[in-house]
Amino acid sequence: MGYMIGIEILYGIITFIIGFIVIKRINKFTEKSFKKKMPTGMAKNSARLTYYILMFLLAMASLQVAGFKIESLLVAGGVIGMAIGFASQKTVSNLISGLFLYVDRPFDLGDSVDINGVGGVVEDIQPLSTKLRTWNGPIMRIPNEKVFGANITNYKQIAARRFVHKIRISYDSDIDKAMTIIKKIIDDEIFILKNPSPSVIVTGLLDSAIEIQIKAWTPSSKLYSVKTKILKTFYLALKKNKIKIPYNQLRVHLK
Amino acid sequence: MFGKQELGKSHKTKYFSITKKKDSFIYKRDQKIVQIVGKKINLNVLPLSPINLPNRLTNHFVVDFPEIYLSPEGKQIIFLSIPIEIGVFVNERLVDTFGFTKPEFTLYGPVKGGIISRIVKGEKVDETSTPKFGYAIMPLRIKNYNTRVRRTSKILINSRYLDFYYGEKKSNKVEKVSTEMIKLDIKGSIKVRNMNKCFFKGMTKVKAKTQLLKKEESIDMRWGI
Repeated sequence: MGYMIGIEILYGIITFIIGFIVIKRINKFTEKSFKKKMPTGMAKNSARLTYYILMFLLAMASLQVAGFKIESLLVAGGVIGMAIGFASQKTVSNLISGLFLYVDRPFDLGDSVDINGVGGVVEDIQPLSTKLRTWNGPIMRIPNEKVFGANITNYKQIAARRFVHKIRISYDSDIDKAMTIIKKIIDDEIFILKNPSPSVIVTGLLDSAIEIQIKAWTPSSKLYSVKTKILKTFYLALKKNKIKIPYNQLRVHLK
Repeated sequence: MFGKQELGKSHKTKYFSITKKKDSFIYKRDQKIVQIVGKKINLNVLPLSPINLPNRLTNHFVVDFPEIYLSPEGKQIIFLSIPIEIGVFVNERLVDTFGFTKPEFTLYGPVKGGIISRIVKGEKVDETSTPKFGYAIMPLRIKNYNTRVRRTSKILINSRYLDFYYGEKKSNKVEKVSTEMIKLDIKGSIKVRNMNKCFFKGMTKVKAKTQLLKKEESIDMRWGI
């Protein structure tokens, strides 16, 4: 009897060792093939998840071969699992959100993103959290549950960005002259895209000014430098041509 | 102008000068000044794709040319004169790039997934013509595989895989620059292929480091021609 039990345990151990070697090889293969089809961070985590599932199944199979009653182990496991489950609801929620993030793929490693108002570069995507290097430098760890439910803007995936700016000129300024100056500055700027074409239109006759709206597209990487340069050029050119940019004015007549 | 030469003394062209000092050379063009230490230097002037100025923002450029209508299953070879850039290499290093046209950019395709490209104006020229310095001839073979008339007025080029050739025209000493032959196949999808050969005979292939990359098979112009 004791001899039989010994043999069964030995078979169990052999099953585990062989299974472990096979799973290691499968893991290498899955990681390689995942990397061909999906981004690096996602591939690593998907391969890791496959590995854990296979290891769990192997452990169950090895225990079965070694003569343990899996059913009772599963029942016991179920009770323990429930206890752990209640204690780790957040963790499970993060894990599941992580899985949904893998499927949805709103960003990849190295992308410049804005997650609920926090901007930065994606440093790491882990099963439970996403690490973001913020524009100021510090690394921020955001639980995947929050990331999945957040408003995400991915700047890397867009080739061009549009900037919209409104300029107000006084009523005694020459509106045609102002628009010609603005259009020329836009035409002269190399990094403002010709297509989609920029637009300069009058959008309002306000209390103390005429409002001119400028819409122009630039390559994503050039948005801020172009915007800074062009706004400064607008100001200097309008000032040079004696076109006033008025402050808000309120005329009060006293009787 | 184009090609490699060893310099041991000062050298001047219409566009730049290299002055020999004691143990160094001073390269000068407009505001650009570069000092190169050495008693002799290797100067190499080469035609480059028009994507480096004012700085390298993209590898792609779109050649806009006068509209062409192609009859069903019709094909045509046209020759376009396009502006290029000139690269000055000293001892195998690129020290200066210059061109003669103002850079302009466009977005080919949608905001998400589209390609930022330089706009290059192509003018139709004769096969035998030699464009002025700073311009190259691009031989373009367009074929319409469809059963209806198609029109085209632009082509998207990935400069990383574009070969240039140069050669001297003996009659008036003006150097001709040409790109490799390009094929534009208009089928269900529109494909641009680099033919990896020069249309003209006796020209020298440019072997700049930036152009030693593996050729990709074709570019899909999925957002129209």
